[in-house]
Amino acid sequence: MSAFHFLRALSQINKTTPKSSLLLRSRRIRHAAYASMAYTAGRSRLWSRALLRRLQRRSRLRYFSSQRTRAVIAPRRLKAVRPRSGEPSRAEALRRLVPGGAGMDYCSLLDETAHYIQCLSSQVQLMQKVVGSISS
Amino acid sequence: MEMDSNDKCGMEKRSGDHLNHQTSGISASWQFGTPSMGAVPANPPIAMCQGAPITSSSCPSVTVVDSFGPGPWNHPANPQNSGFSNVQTTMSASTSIPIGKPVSVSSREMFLPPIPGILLPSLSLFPADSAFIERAARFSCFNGGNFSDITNAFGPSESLTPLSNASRDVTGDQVQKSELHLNEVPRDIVVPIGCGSIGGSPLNNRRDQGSSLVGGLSNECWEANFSEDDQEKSPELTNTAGNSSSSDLAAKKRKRTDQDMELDQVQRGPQLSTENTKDTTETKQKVEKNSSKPTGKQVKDSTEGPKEDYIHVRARRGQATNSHSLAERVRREKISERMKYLQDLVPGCSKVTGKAVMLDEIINYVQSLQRQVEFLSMKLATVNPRTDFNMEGTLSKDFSQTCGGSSSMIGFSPDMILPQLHPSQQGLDQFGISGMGNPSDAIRRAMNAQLTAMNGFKEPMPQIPDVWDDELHNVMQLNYNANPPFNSKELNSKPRDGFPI
Repeated sequence: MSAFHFLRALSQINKTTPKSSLLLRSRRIRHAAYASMAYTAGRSRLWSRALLRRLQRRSRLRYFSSQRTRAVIAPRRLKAVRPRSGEPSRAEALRRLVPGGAGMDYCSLLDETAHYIQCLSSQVQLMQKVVGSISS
Repeated sequence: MEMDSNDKCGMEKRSGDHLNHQTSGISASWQFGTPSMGAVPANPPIAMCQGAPITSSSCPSVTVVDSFGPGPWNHPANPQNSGFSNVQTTMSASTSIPIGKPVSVSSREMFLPPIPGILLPSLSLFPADSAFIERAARFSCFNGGNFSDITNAFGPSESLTPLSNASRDVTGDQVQKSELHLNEVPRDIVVPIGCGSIGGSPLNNRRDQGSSLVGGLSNECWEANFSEDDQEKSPELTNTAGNSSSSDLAAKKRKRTDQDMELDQVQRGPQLSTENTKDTTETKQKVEKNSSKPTGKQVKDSTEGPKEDYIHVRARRGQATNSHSLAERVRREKISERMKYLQDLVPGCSKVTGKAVMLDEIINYVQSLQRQVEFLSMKLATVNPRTDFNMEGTLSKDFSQTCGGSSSMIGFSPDMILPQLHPSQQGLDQFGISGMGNPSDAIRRAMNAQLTAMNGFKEPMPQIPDVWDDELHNVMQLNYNANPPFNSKELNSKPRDGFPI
């Protein structure tokens, strides 16, 4: 299912974006990869919900953004993850890595991390296969 | 956590589960206590569940209860000793389970039989002192069970007070002790009920009347290792007594499937603390024996576990039974279990031990995966501009590679994709994908079947694709339509958090 969505988005990107803007294309492809990954994971996962929310926010931001709105919204994203008790300090880094990790307790963070790793690795495999099939 | 609905189910289930276990325990203790009949020591040795279990069916307990019912009524005026003997004879006559020890022992046994229907009528009557004392003693002989109804029966606690007072005046030390036990008995019966459906505040009032004997009694009654700890359970009890849906820590820990006597969260009043220490050594042996029992029950518990929101935690021998420490232990076990799972996921982490190093490895792995995604997207951006890029060919090749090529699927997918992609390519600007409808669902299903096998994790069947379709389309659409206002500033801005997007 993720392959379908990703490939569909990929084909669309190929059609719509100019070939010159490599950075733009790569960014969009990455956006599509994460979006299809989160979509495939479903609503049952915290990280997928948070990821979709983030993607939507950024997309809307880019679409409607002016310099002012970007400056206003940016400081909110800089809010530091406060160190929580009863968990190692490295958990903060993990929270920043996993989408939606800031709002979870340590136990569910580990849970979400496991599922996130699963989805990420499958997405990477998929992309590798696509690249392989295209280039061959 | 939702306790309300689970409460009733758990209670009923527990009553069913407890019957077998408790009857055996009861019989054992009774047998043990028989020789010392007539003696009312202050702290009789703990005689719980040491003998071989008698028939573990509900029938004996029922008969026992039945015999209890008429028993006290038949001997209302007898002094305590004779009453006990009468009861014992009646008991032995009716069942193979002798009453055993008098009040002191029986009152230690906190658990009432899980047959509230039978108990309620007898409880509500509160006849003369000795009869009541006998009954209370007998009730305390039963192990575990569904306390909720019983505690409700104890609701009219005012009747207990005059009874106990009267008994104190009428008879001598034994009656006094038994009456004290009596006072304790309802309290203890109430106290250990952790399930949150405790009979309510009147019982808490009874606790306040306590004597120091309560602690000893309640301790020995418990099969669990209550010896370890004495909790200030009165505040907790008051909390739980009021609403069964209370989400206090103690309630959360309880697995309904397990028996009450295995509750580690001791809902005892503060006055029990003194007795707890005395019985520590005695109960520890019981704990050791009981530790093997729950292992047998755990299999059953695990099957019923998913239905409950609460998890019963059993404090192991030598471990603190503090509510906080128990919660900590549960949490730690959960975390370690998840760390083990993560260890399997992350490649090359089998040799790593310790949470700190493991966490570092996990973080590195997630970062590497995210970097890989970025790199691959860059690669795709460079590779894709080929004009002869064939989506259908790629798709079918992709499926064949990933799924080992189930021929039917491969034959299926290009056919399905072809008609789809053409209209989709035309309508991409307006995102006519939503018009795909059935074909897309079919493809999704096919791909889902293939990919789930590949990915190894179940993805939700598209009952929610409609909602998600819109979301995904919005996301994609906004991304694609962002081309005009897009400027290089955003490209150069570093991501503020580790997440690359």
